Amino acid sequence: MKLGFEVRCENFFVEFYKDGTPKEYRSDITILADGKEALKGNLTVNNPITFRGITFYQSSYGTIPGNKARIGISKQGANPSDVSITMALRKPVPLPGNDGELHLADIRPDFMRLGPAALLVIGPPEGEEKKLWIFRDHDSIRERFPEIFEKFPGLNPAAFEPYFFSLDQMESKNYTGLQVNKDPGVFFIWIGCFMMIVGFFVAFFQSHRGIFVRAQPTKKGIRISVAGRSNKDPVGLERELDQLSQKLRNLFVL
Amino acid sequence: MVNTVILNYITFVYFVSFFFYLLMMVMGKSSLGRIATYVTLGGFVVQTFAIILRWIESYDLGIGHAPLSNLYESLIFFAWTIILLYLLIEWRTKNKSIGAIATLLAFGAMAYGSYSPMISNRIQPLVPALQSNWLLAHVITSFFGYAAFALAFGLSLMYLIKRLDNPEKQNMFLNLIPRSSILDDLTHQMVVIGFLLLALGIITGAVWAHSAWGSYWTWDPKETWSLITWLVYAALLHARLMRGWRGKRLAIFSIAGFCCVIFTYFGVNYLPGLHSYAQS
Repeated sequence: MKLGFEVRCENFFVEFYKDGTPKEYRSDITILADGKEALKGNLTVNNPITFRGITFYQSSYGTIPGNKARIGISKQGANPSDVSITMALRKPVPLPGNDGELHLADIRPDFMRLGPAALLVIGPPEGEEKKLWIFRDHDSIRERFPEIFEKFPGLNPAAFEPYFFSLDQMESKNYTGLQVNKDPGVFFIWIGCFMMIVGFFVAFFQSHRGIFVRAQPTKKGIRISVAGRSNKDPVGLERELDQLSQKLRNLFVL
Repeated sequence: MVNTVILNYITFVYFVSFFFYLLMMVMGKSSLGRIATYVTLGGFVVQTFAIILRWIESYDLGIGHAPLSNLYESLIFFAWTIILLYLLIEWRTKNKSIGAIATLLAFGAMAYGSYSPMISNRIQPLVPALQSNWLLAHVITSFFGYAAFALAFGLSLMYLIKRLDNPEKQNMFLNLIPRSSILDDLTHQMVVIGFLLLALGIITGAVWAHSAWGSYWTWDPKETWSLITWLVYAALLHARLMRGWRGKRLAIFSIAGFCCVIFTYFGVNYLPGLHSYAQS
């Protein structure tokens, strides 16, 4: 579905209490419609912003890897070199010494539960290209699982000889997650709720009552009797009949 | 904090009133009942004061909010609503027989809140999702609903005990319990009140969820279980109005309904969900 307008996040804040519980998540957003700023607002958890029937809610926030990483390339053996270059995703870079080219194919904040990792694709001048996952926490992974890199060539940063690759740094981006909702029917839900509650009051606190008054001529005069029936609340009915007969008595009995 | 100290003592005040209500029923002396009522009323007044004090203390800590935000506060409030509703019923019906059960339930809730090592009685700040005026409406309607169901449960138990009664046996304890028809009628009234309030609690919760997360119903365990509870009581009312169910069957129905209430209140804490506030 097309929104027909744009949302720009100007800023995002997280505030914490002294004990560390979150106090406020706030996104300052600007809504751009027809080429101009139509609405500016601060979005917090209990204060959504509605524009043209679309409502935005503050829903989450977090960090995702960006599309850049710094890769260390060291070449061993004859004329060794050691460089660290910042690579962008899917932008090939020549390997030092014209041994082919290298490109960054993927960046993951957590790969195989071993922490941040990057996927390198190495294309030598001849032969098949080689895919290689390298980890930022290379040393600690080796401590936890000795031999892991030797066993799995796809994880071994030294698999493409005579090079050794390392993931020195990953660019990360912060994001704010907004829930976007179009719910034109919700108004009818509230109407329904309201009618249900009114209905309960009618059903529980009102009763079908029939009240009968009979005037019967007798030798001494006229006998008036009052009767009633009700589908519920017999106590209330009794009270009503008492009041009624009291009124009749006041009217006719002097 | 002063309020928790007072509330710890109130727990025992309710135990004392339970004791007097029970003594009244066993010995059949109305003077004991009068003492029980005064003790309960006194406890209630002081508890009200302690809750207000807790509210003020939260403002002094700079995190001011109504004391209805965690499991401890909800248990204290639950006990308070039970006692309030009970005192109203006692005043209206002039009968003290369910006092023993009402005060026992209130004592249980207070004791669990105050003395369980799993429950923190500290005043905690409100997380962003709870910072809403709907908190008050949602919690108050829900808990008065729970309290009405708790009293219906007490009345149903009394009804089942009363069935043991017969004219030959001059058992004081059973004699003091009001007639079965009165118990039946009161149970019905409590269930109606509870049902209406639970419906309001669910609706205010839905309105709130819609303004906080953008959806009024997400099948979170607490939502699902409150719906189940609501449907059980709806079935009870239906059985009574349409099928003419009375007496024992309805009493058992109401006890089963209260089991659902208890699960809605505590059981769902063991399931993951939006209402996980109750875990701390």
